[in-house]
Amino acid sequence: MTKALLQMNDVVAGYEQGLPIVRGVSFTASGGEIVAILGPNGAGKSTFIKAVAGLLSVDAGTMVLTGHDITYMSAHLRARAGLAYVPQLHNVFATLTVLDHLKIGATLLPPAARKTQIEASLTLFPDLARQRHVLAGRLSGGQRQLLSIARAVLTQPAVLLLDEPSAGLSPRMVEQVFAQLVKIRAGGIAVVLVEQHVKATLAIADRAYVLVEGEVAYAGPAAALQNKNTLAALYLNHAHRPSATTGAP
Amino acid sequence: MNLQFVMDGTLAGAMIALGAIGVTLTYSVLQFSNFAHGELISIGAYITYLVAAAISATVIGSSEALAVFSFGWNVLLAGGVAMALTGFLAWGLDWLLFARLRAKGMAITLVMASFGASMALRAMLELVFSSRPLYYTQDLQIARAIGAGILVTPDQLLLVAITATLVGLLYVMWAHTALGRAMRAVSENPALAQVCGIDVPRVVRVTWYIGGALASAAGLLLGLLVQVRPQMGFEMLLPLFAAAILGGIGSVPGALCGGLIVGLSQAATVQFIGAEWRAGVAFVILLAVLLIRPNGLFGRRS
Repeated sequence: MTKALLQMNDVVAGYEQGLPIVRGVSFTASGGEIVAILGPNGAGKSTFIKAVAGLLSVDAGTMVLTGHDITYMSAHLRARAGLAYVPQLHNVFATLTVLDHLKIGATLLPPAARKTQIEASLTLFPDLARQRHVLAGRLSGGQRQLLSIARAVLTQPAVLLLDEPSAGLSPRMVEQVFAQLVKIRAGGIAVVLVEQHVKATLAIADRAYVLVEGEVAYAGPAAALQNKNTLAALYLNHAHRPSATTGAP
Repeated sequence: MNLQFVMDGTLAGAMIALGAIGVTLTYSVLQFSNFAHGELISIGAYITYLVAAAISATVIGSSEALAVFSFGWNVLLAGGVAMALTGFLAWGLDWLLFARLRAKGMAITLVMASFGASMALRAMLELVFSSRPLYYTQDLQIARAIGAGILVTPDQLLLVAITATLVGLLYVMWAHTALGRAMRAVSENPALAQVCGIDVPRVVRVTWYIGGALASAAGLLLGLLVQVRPQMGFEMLLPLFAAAILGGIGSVPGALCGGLIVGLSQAATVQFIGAEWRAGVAFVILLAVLLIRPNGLFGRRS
């Protein structure tokens, strides 16, 4: 693990001014680690990740990416600054080909590196390489997810945000997607993963945050949440959360 | 059978297609029907007229007819200048009016505003230039037979070639460049486009610019073949939308095909049925196609 690449302090965000869904969340993610964000439905996980990606405005708090303040930066500039985001739904352009997606990602790279990175990406995702000229709308759900991840990783981001990448996928495909995330972590990228598949997520995550009602109910080693009772207690009873900051970098 | 309608329809279709491409681009990227697009055609035609007159006044001989054509190089140069200026004007219209309304998220207000802009711009043209028609050239051209009973003037052939070149260049941009990919991405999912690093406001500006420039080119064609009048663009509006919808909103090849189908059906109607049925038949074809393919010929399924 290296230094914190993404640091958020007391972030308040929501869909409407004055109606916060994420309430005072502080968070860090470092290079070469997978950070899981867990929580019951309606806890604010997706809202949180959208706020980090720049799709929602922040009402209060600060966000720092690789030492640069991105709190009020637009989504496309955040992408250029090294923040890649894979949404849960509508994560590909149905009328663009697989190769078009990779070319869009490659525009964030220096011109000389683009072709090489596209080829490297297709090597990393052989299933996509075979379908490089196929429209994304014709891919299966799992292949779309992989394409979205491939497009995001191609940009060589500092931080990769994923919103429920396993949603709607078969167990075999979930395994494949998670295996890719482990490889991506090995490349030194900070992987931030919002998930409902708790068991599979904790198996690959280094650290975890549990959000309940928009607040951090737990922050610490993922391994400490392997015990079902601990997680259930956090989900069901926010007031009885354990000391939240153990193990945070 | 006299096939003259093929040439007449191709010419009309070329003009309609240039305008329809602007309509389809604006709609696909902004999800907005711009009813002021016809006035961009008129304004482009008037700018061409003014710039051509200015060149003619300053460069002696620039309005002398070029080779077999009826106009001088001043008109062609003025057409290029007008495309650039009308592109900026379209962009300015968005900045001044539509972008502000878009920010407030009121789709119907945006459409009504485009009606308002259409009327205001048309009234402005009438105020400045009056309703009297203007002409880029007063020279008469003798049409030549090219076989199958078709008569065509050199001007008409050049205008078809200009349209084919512009549409070809636009297609290459749309299908094979980073800008085209960005435009296609924004038209499908602006939020995803943003997180992919695409500068959506820039894509919107470029879309307006291209739409305005192509509208101006359509104005040049219409001005050369017919005349320049404040109403010229407004009268094209329904065929433009028919062509864009027929081809499938968001499809550049679709707008081209839609334009040609509308142009050819109008010309065939004039020749075989009667001029008074011209507009009606084009729209019957439009309705028939939409009943069979609701997304148009090349449109994507929603």
